[in-house]
Amino acid sequence: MSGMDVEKVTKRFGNVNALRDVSVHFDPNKVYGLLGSNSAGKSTLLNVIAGRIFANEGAVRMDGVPVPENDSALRNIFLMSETNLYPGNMKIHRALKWTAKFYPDFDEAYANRLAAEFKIDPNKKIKSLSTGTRTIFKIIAALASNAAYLLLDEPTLGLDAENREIFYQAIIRKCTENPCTIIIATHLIEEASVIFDHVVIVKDGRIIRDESCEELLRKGREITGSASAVEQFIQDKTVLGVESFGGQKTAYCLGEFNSLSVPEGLRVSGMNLQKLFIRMVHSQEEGI
Amino acid sequence: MKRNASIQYQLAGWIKPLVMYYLFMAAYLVISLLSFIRNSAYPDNTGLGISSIYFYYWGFDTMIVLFAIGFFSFKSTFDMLIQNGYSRRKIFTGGMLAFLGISTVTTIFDTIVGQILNRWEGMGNDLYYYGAFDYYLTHSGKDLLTVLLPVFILNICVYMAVLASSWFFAAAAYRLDKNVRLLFFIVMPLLILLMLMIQERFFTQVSIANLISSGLGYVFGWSNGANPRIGVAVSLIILAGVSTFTLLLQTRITPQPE
Repeated sequence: MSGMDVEKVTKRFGNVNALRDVSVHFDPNKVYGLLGSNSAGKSTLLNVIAGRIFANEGAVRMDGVPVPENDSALRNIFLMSETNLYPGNMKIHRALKWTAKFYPDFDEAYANRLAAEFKIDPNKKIKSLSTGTRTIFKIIAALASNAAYLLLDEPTLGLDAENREIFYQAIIRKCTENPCTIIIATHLIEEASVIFDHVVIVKDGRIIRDESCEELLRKGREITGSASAVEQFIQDKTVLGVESFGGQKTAYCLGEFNSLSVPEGLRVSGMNLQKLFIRMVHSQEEGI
Repeated sequence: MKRNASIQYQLAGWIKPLVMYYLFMAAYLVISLLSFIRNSAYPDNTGLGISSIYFYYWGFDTMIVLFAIGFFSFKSTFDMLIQNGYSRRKIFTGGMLAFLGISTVTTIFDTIVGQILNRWEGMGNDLYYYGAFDYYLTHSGKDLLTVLLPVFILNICVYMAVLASSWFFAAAAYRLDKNVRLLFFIVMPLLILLMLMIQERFFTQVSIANLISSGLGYVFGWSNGANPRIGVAVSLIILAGVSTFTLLLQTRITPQPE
């Protein structure tokens, strides 16, 4: 398995460019965080990968084979989208039974275990479910499908803290017991960051960062100190943003840091993924 | 395996509405029959006022029902199968194979019911039956067994063409904007109906309804020497045309949430 390749994909909706010349590679058996502000193009990218919508330009390939309208590729992808495509009148257990017929590797016992863990009633009709419960149902279908590529668009939508924790634990278990490529588009960056191996950041339909999560966190630094000292120190650094309060200044930087070279009086600390994401998105230097 | 699941899913969606339709028709027949027997036993008591049972155009109503179910089930079937990793082409081929099964089953059912009612009518009871394909059976001049198979095949082909048309219109509607959809599928038929009524009322020399009826007669072969083979050929041409357009539409549509 060589993974999934998105090659120079452009998607337009009327005059709006949802994706612009996007190229990204997804390795097998890794968890990707697909991050971006609202309308950045995350859902569009996932929908293009899963063949639900067609790109205007470019290609999506799985192990070198084109994905759109290719059944052998599509059966390895499960897209859990925000929008509901299941028949509203169908009961949860029926929907899971059908999913088991569509995905040959579907694990029914695992689906039942997850349903019990999330405490959902499988006899309820899909249309009667709340947003959170509907999300849970879709999570169960996705995880139990055992597809090689799970694309999860806002998988924590409407979930309370307890269910979000069950979800993260389920992802971690899946990665160890039955690994697959998982691409998670989410706005809850900080709490989801623990499960990401890799991060892809989208802004205005373009990929502005595609890097290992660990590497990114290692490079992100917050430098605080007197304004003059900070300004002098960041001269040769990639600066994502600067904040001032009184005579103090905080600079958010990206790059390799030698702790020995940090002058006295300056405090250098790491940044969490959410802060880093916000700084990167707001930064004017999109190509960094 | 996956194609089988797609066909299975599409067929499963048809069972309930078709059973309901045939139960409704059976109930109609039973109620009419009971009322008829009661009237015959007690001529003074008019009961429901049924002195004869009419079972006209059996087959046409099946076509209407098939079209309606096909049209209204398209979106949920398409969405569910797209959600579960099917290509649009496979949904289409699965649908056509499912349609073949549905057409065959409904044709078998309609033919059996038609033959029973035909014989019953022949026994001199006050039952009047006329099936959609009876013209061939009664006007071909050939014996029933010779003509039954071509008519059976014609029946399947016509039902298939109707089902394919239902998907064609549904796929077209799926692609349209909501307001345009409303205009096309509610306002337009009402306007056409109104125009037909005006035409019938004020321009009595030519009846559009009759023209449509005789046109259909030519299309399906009733007006062509009662040759079911012509009907089969015409319905296959319609089926091929409609299916091609449906495939073209279906391979371009994207799922739309409610």
